[in-house]
Amino acid sequence: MATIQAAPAASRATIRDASRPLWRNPSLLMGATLLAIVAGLAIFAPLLTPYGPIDQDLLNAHKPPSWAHPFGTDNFGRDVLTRVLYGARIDLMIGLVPTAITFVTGVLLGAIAGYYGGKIDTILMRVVDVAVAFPFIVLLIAIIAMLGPGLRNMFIAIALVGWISYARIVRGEVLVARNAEYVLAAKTLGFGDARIIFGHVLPNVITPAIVFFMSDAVLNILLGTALSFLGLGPQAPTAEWGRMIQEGRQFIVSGEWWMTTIPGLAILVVGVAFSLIGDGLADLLRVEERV
Amino acid sequence: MTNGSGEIAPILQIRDLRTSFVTSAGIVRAVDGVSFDVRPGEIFGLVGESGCGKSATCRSIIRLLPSHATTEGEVLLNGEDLLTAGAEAMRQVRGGEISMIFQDPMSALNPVLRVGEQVAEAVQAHRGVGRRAAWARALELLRLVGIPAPERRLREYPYQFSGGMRQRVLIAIALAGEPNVLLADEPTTALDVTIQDQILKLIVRLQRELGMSVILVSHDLAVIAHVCQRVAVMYAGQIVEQGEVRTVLRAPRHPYTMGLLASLPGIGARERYLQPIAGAPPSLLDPPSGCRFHPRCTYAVEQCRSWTPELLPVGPGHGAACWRQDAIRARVETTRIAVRETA
Repeated sequence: MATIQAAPAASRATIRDASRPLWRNPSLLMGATLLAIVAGLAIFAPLLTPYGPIDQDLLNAHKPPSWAHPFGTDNFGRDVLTRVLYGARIDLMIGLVPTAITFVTGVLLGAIAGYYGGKIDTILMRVVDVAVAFPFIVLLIAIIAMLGPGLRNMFIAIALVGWISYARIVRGEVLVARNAEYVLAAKTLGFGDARIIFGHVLPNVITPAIVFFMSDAVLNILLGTALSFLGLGPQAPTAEWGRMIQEGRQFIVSGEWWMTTIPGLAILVVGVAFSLIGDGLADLLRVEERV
Repeated sequence: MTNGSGEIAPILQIRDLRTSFVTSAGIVRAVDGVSFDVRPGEIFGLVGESGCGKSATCRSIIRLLPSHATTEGEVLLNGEDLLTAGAEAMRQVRGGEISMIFQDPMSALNPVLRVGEQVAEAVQAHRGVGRRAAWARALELLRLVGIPAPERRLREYPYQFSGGMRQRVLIAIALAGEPNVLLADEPTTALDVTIQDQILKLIVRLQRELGMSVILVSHDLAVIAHVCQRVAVMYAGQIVEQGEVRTVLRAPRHPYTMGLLASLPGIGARERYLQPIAGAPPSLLDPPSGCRFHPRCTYAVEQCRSWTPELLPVGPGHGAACWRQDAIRARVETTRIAVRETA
């Protein structure tokens, strides 16, 4: 490793070229570990808890944390820990699925707009301008109001709006990269546009979009929980953190803090995990100097 | 391949090439009526100052100019006009028939792809072979261009290569499609002098081994003198003199070529002062009337202001766009006598 470390700094590191050992990148390591733990808990939830996420036990409703229910029970006597574990499945999905969809479409559209320019670029960027002119959350609520509440429609709404950031990031980078000499060199070899865009331009400009993906995943989890807090996400009795907070909200005044605090903390942990990964990736993929 | 007169048919014929760029300041005529032939297996030099249209000529040949450029004339590759060829046919030509190498090897390689991938990709694009075969060919190509330890180097990234080695990689990539013509646009300008010499020797060696034709663009007469058989001297978007390198450089017949040579330090000419050409190259937005060199020319007469000279034959295979040939010959004769008398 030491010899690779000595390689000239005037280069762009890439994932494949990542010469730094993982332990030198504590953010990435911690974030990835945290996320892996959360994902593991979500996947193995049935093995970790004797209760089901929607099993009601009205005799044991409103119970504070105890050995039988480490995080207490809610107003239907459902185990909060169990619901938080099962909820992680939905909330991780909210973090990853719409983000992945918007990443792919946004990067594609941004790359095409930036590379070809002209009319395609103008049309696409005007669409972006219009979409940006609306407050993000208001636009989302309007779309969900049209489609009806539910997890799937929430994904569709986020997918319809979220690609814009990626398109803008990538377009800007492609505008610079398309005039790079290596792109001209690829053209002189008779390479087609698709090969140049995907094989030569995108690998050079994708880094900021990847880093943004991680912050965007956090934003989407917060957005998803906010939407389901408003009742626009998955419907009862699905275990989902935002929904759990909303349902527990009315019992805060009577001192039953666990119904809201525990899912809130879960959101915090996942948010921190994604942020740390984003931070670590930015560091790992850092553009030392444009060659 | 011969035509009726027994001469070798040229592989590439440029006929009255005109390339102009539409800019906010007006129309820039970067290439203005350039014609020359490139024969199979020769190195043809294109020399001139910065901004005289050398690179624009090259890029017009393979039609890789920005969208605000227009190109007229003919570029005949084995008799077929590339300027009217379809997009798909043109893609086949690029890299397959005509390849290009660039001035700055630092930026012409993709920084995030392994060198081997870049060479192999070029191989795959033009010879329908599999990935494994393409990598094997890439290895051969690196060996051909003289890169030491090619097995290891294939797996490295461009930043791990020096400038000279990168230029070798670019040459290997350019050769991947086994082109018949190589456009070398100032291939040694960004390199150290010692590396320049190595790269030039490599180009000459490859040209001989592979029998391809090379158009070598340079602003350096020494480079041209070193490797080319024939040369065209460009000034302000036009060719002002053209012929065998020896004739053109030993007995130039255009005042601009003479000026260029007089401004060069030569071996055994220590006593002589270098004579720069007075003035600066004209703006191509608004070029001078008549002969474009007349404002800087010591031979200029009234006629030069209003009439544009054609490329006139001044010797076997030697043309110069200047009608003051008598004055030039007389001046050359008197200096020769003067030199003899002082000796």
